[in-house]
Amino acid sequence: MSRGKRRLRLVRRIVQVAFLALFLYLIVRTAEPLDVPVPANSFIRMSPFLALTAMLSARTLMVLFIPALVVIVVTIVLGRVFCGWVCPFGTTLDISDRFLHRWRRKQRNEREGQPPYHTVKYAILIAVTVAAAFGVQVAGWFDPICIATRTYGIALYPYANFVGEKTLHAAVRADVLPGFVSWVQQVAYQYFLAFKQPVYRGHILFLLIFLGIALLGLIERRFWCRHLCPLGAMLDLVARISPFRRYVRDGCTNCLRCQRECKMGAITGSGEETRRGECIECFACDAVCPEAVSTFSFRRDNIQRARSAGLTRRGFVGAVVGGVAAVPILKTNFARADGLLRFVRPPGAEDESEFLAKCVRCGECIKVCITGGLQPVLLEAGLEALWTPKLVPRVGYCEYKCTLCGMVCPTEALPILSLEEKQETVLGTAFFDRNRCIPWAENRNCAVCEECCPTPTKSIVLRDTGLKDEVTGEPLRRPYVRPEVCIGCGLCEFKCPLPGRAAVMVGPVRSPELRRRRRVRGGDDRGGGQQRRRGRAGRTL
Amino acid sequence: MCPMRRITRRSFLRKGSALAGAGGAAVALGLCTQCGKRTSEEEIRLKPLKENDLSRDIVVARGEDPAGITKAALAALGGLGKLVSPGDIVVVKPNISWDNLPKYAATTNPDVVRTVVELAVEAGAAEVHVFDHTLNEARLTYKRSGIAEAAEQAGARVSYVRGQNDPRFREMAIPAGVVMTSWPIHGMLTRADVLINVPIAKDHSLTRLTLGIKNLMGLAGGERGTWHPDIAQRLADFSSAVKVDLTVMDAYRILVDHGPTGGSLDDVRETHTVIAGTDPVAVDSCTTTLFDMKGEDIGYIRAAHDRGLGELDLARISVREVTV
Repeated sequence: MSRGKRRLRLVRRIVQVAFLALFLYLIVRTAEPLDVPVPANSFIRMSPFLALTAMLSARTLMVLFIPALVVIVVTIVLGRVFCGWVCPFGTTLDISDRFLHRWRRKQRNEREGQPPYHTVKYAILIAVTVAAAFGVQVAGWFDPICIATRTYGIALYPYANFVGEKTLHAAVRADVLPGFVSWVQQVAYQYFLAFKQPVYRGHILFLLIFLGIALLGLIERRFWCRHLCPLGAMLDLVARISPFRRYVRDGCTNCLRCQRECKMGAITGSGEETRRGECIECFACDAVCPEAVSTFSFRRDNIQRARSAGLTRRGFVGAVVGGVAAVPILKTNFARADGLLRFVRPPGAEDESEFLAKCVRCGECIKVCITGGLQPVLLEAGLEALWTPKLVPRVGYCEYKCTLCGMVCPTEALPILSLEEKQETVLGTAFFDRNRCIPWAENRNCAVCEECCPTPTKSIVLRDTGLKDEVTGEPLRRPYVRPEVCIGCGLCEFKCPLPGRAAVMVGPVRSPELRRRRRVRGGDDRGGGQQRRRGRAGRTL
Repeated sequence: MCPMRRITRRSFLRKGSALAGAGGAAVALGLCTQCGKRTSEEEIRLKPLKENDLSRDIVVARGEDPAGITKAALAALGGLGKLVSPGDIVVVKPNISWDNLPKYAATTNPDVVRTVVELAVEAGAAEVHVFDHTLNEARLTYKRSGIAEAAEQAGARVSYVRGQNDPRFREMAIPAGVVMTSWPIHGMLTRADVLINVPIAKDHSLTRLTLGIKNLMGLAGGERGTWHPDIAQRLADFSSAVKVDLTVMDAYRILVDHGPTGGSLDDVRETHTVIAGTDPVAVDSCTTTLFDMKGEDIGYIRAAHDRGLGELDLARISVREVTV
């Protein structure tokens, strides 16, 4: 057993933890003021699976995915180091696998070959890619970076924030070490805690999906990576041409310790052969080899290569058919046929079909939204729109001078908007429910919606009625919407003082010609920190 | 497969007591997070008016420099030292509610806020706190208004209000309340010795003008929108409980239409004025003249006057004018 080899495994673990820490840091700081040293969406942009499918379905070249190209090049040269060293979801599973160790069933005997479900990952990869070629983008449901982003950002972070915030409040109330506690609170709010407790729709679903994947670790370590992950399958296919391979020198006693240690099931037969595409270069085999003969090198005369598994012809055809079949199944969308899309998309998502083709459902915009109003769509817009973002104004409105969602979108499904563009971007149109609205239904003055309307000339106006307020006797004025000015930000709906459903609500844009607006003011309004500091540079490479 | 582990008495006791201990600790922590909510009403009381030797006049200062006229106005009242004693905790309450640059006159002029904070620090205040329960996102308004930076530079502690359910809002009694007998109010007002209200004068559709008394809404938590049908009475109730020691009205720029949000320079008038005084009703009443109105025109000024909270009649207010 060589000490140097063990050190390599240690280095790998340190790198893994470092990347996971960076990932978590970026998730936490995907929030105003977005002052992160690297783009908040860096990890999502590293996924070649998302890159390929998004470009196929949107039929555009996406420069934002250059990091994914780098991952491909690295994989060609070194193999699946991304899976073994970088992927935050892989590292998460390594950690959860460790906890499951006690209950895991006995290791499969690798000589039996791969289990029948091993090729599911190739099938998912092919089916999703074929569907993307026909304009159906569902890669985000399966991509591990997207799953990790949703798990951590939309489920676990709000839980952690809840516990952290409540604990600090308890400490403040208990008044122990007040100076220290208030310092901790200040630091916590600056670096970790959310401005306000985030609450996301369907967060338990994301938690359950994650727990389900993690519990598969009871069967085998890295079960997801071995058998299900489409990004892993893609890198597997690429890595097969990598010249950097595991190589066993003379002196192997076929003790099979390496085979038992390999969490990917990449070592077959007598322990000397490796399935190149399965190996994620974790260097565990090196570390445990008692004879120190297991090594990695660029040697060309390496012939100890086990046949990598792949889809059978039948499996391949099945996956292609499945991908094609998904197109009519998802696109025959009753919600859209019925005009049921009664909600509002984030700013800049103007054409629903284009938006669905570009959006990878990663949840970045939902996490970053400054008011917390962006929420995951469940089934109300059809299965094809599952986990895309929508604005729920009663939870949070679209802030007039905020451009964060476009700044973190990895595919420009939400475009990067300048402050001026944002203020003339129309999300929807407000309308009144006169049966609930206080001045209409109760003859009392109210005007909260008019007061807070952020458009400079007011999209909600009050008109004299000639009537009197029934209690105060003041002249009664009632609110009206000016659809030609309204941008549908939902602040009126958010602030409507009625309990429960608001009397003023934002629905889809009344008519297409209301979409683009004349600029409302000069381009001199750059006082805000987020725009000044990040600007468009937030997305450059 | 691992063999079934037998449960011995020893292991049962050991694991059982560990579990019970962990559960007990969790319950204790849970109770701890709840305990503060049961504080009795008597313990939290809003600050009273502070005895002071400031002039009872209303000072109207005019000039080109917002900091200069603020200084001049406070000097004409006798100087902030006559209100703020060394060691006092001072709350300076500007309007930071809207996400607009100072030139749109939707938020208090940062130079006015800076000057008031500086003078309070000079007078020996131990802590000067600046905050507002904003309507737009606080992280944006604090920045874009320039107030957070100005106040911090001048030595204030600037804090955010984290929405209407911020735990610092505590349900407090309004003993003289007519339509409202209690409301969640910012806890800082139980600690503070002095409250200096630093509003901006501007248009407001429902109340016609938003001035000093209306600016106090930024100290209230809860669903403030429900005040609107009875806004005049509600504001009078609220200001009967929240005692303002000094009002420094920023009228350097005023917003004459499309308030209180603003956003168009067409609606802004450069009036280059600061109006200060200890009587919150009189300061508001005086300020209405900048909009060619009278105190009687504004419902909440009338209501506050009727409750005896201050003088509304301009003829009975002694106004001192200063030009810098």
